[in-house]
Amino acid sequence: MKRRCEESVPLLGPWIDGELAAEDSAWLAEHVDCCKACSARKALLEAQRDAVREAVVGKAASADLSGLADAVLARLQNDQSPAPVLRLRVWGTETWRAHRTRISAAAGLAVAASLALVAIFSPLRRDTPGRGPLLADARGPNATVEEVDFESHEGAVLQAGQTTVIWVDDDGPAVLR
Amino acid sequence: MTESRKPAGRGADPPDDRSLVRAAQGGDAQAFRGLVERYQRRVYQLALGMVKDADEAMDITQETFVRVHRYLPSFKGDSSFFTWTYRIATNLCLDSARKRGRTERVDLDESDAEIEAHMDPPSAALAGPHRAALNAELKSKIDEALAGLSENHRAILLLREVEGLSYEELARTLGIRKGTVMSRLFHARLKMQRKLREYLADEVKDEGEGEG
Repeated sequence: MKRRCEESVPLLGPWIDGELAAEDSAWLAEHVDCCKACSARKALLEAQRDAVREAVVGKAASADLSGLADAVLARLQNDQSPAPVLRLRVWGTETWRAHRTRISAAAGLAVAASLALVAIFSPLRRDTPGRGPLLADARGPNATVEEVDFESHEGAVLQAGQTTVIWVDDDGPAVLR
Repeated sequence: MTESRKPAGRGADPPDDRSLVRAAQGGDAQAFRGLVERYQRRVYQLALGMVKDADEAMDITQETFVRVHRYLPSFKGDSSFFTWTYRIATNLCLDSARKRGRTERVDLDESDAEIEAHMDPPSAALAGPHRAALNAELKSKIDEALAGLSENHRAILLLREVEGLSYEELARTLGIRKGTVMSRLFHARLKMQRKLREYLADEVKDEGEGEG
């Protein structure tokens, strides 16, 4: 196969489909005009297209579809079921695709917030010896907190109105420090 | 293509797809019936070409329109109604084949050498008088050749050769890039040609090498 034919073969289909750029169509038309082989290839593609169309359309033409629309509408009337799982799946996928950046960011923030809460309120916190989680956050206009040394343990007393809370660290100062 | 998108009406022009879709979205059952009747034959012939079995093709056609109705509220008109409908129909055909374990992998693209071998200068065997005498035997060979294609090749070939979809519409319908459309269509045609050329071998009168 000569070079010009090699270039032409993949373009013959798009050409007969009317999908080729004008400049390519121009040189291809010129080549096919003077090349019997490519002219025959083009004719074969067109003939094959027409034959396939005729065969498939002809086969389907004999089918009786007169009741199809009625059958579809009857099904729709009987099938007033809620959105199928498929739709949920599609919705989920589409939502994820459309908002994945925001969803990822929100998930990241949620995780970060959870970690922060754990860090703030965890009784296992060791970074502020002698000051439990209540101490850091319970102080306010209606509550007083007094740190107390229970000799072998550290702790605090929280007084809020009529309520008193005594907090003792079981691990003792040795562990805390 | 165009003529079947606008079926001949009696008297006044029939409403276009957009009007019917809008009315159907508003709950007008008759408008939806109009859409079904307009496209049922084409959806059926696509399904028949894909699955071969007439009953199965009918089921797929019916299911296509049930799905079309179900998803109609979300149809925004970004693509044309028929492209959207074909997409649903094509997916149902592929699903059906998958369930029956008939799905083949998309054929790997052939090497250039293989393409060249199969693109030897053909005769115009299917053209002219032979073409006019498209007989039952040839139709059955076409059936056979179509059945021998992978589902993806068959889908693109039917959507292009029978339904006349543009490359842009093919890309939208099949969810692939335009470049993939060109490549897939090229190979699908090549495989069909190989099978039909075998059948036509006796009738082929080689017209000789090209001059280009």
